[in-house]
Amino acid sequence: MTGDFTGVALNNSGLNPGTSWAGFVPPGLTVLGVNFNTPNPGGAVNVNSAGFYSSSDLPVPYLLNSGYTTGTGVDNILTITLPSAQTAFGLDFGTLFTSATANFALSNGFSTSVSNAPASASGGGTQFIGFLSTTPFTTITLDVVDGQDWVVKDFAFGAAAPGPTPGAGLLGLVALLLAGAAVRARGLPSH
Amino acid sequence: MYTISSLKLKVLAPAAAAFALAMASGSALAATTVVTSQSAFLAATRRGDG
Repeated sequence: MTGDFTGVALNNSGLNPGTSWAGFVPPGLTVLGVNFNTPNPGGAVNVNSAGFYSSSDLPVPYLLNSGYTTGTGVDNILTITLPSAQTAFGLDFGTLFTSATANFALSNGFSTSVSNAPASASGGGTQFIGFLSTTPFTTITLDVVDGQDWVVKDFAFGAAAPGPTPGAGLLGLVALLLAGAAVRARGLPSH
Repeated sequence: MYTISSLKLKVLAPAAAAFALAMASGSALAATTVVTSQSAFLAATRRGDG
């Protein structure tokens, strides 16, 4: 299932003519059952219209943090909660004006970082990252350091197609060896 | 009296089972992979199941 923010009602006028935005304080914004929220005190998740800052901005509406942590030493955090545990999630993301590192953490314990995430509002770009797992997860956290801003353009989620499970072959081999040993042991004197 | 073979089995079987369990649990975390290609992601995902 794929989603974006084109259908979100934007009820505030932006600084530039024809632009608009909306803010969503906790519990945040839910699109297609996927909740976007922030744990930052006093924070909100915003949606900006296409070209909100300039013609260099993204050409479609996008999700971003409100500017609430700059200078406070607190990271800007987005928490994405899926409607149910899934094994696949992906998103097009960026950082707003300055290329920065984006940190991702899944509720199944996996985490990774992407350095030099594209500056969406000044360059109009985003980067895709997808997570495929054999261990289902329900939340994805996107974290950027204080003074940086995260951007999400769209997302997709579902079930990773079945494939070979890492370790399964070794597990089967060990089981086979144990079974063989047990069969051999039956023919041996026990004492 | 234990034979060498039966001793081997009694000692090695629990160790092998523990190793297999460790591999199985270890693979759970290691089995999350990152893809940077949207087309590869969609190809590996049964969309609509969500």
